[in-house]
Amino acid sequence: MIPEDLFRGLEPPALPGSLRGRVLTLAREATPSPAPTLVDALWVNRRWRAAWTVLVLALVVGHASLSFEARLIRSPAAVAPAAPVMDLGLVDGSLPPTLARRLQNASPRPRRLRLID
Amino acid sequence: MERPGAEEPPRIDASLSLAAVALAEGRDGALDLIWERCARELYGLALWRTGSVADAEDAVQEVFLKLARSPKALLAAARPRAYLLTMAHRAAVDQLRRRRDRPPEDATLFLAAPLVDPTRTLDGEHASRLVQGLAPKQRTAVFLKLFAGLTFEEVGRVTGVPTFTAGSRYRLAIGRLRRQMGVGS
Repeated sequence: MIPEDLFRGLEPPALPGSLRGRVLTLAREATPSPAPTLVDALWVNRRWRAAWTVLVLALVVGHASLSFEARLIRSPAAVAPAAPVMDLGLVDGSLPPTLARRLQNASPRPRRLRLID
Repeated sequence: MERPGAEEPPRIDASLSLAAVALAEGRDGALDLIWERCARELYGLALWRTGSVADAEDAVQEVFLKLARSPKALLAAARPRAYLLTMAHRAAVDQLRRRRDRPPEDATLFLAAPLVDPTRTLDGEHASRLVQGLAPKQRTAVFLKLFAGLTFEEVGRVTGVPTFTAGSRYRLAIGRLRRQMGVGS
């Protein structure tokens, strides 16, 4: 007779009826509560909550003021117009050399001027 | 609890692995899942090791308390079922140490006959008396080999002894049972 035949038709007894409820209840009570997250810790603490509120307000105000300044900078009245490229028409040399030189320096792209003395 | 081979160990390990993940994540019902999968086996092991219903219940309770207190431990185990059986065995041995001054209980029902089976050779009470006559360590080896379906190597790992010792205990126990039942080897 092989070992498995010794206990043919037999098996270890079933669990006692009350054991499951008792054990699982105790186990659930023994389960550690989850550690609070950083957000939970910040929200529960009054000082941290106040500091967080001030920070958010400061960011909002700072963002609003920077946006206002940016809009001011971009408006046409605040921007100095770029110096136009002037067609000086100096080929005929009607302007004196000093004035011609000044105008040449003011232009972003100095143009070759022919001066007629 | 099914006899060995009724549900393949890898499937039990797979479902226990899922339960271990749920337990580590703190999801409700994880302990219930683990109970469904293996509580009877843990209780049977503890009962055969201690020979006492009260000690077996306490051992099972100890296992589940440890799982609840360290929810990630089971997830780290490569073989969750073997891990739980080892926990149950250790808890049972601890119960025996605490019980040193207490007298042992009367005859414990180690085996039951849930179905009428004409091929059965023993009734539950007679079989239980024979099992009770075995040394606790030999009883444990028989339970883990015949009812939990472990290999001798796994029996050795669960009970903390070399494979050869686990096999030796099992063979001695079976030999004694056969002699008592008057059957050939």
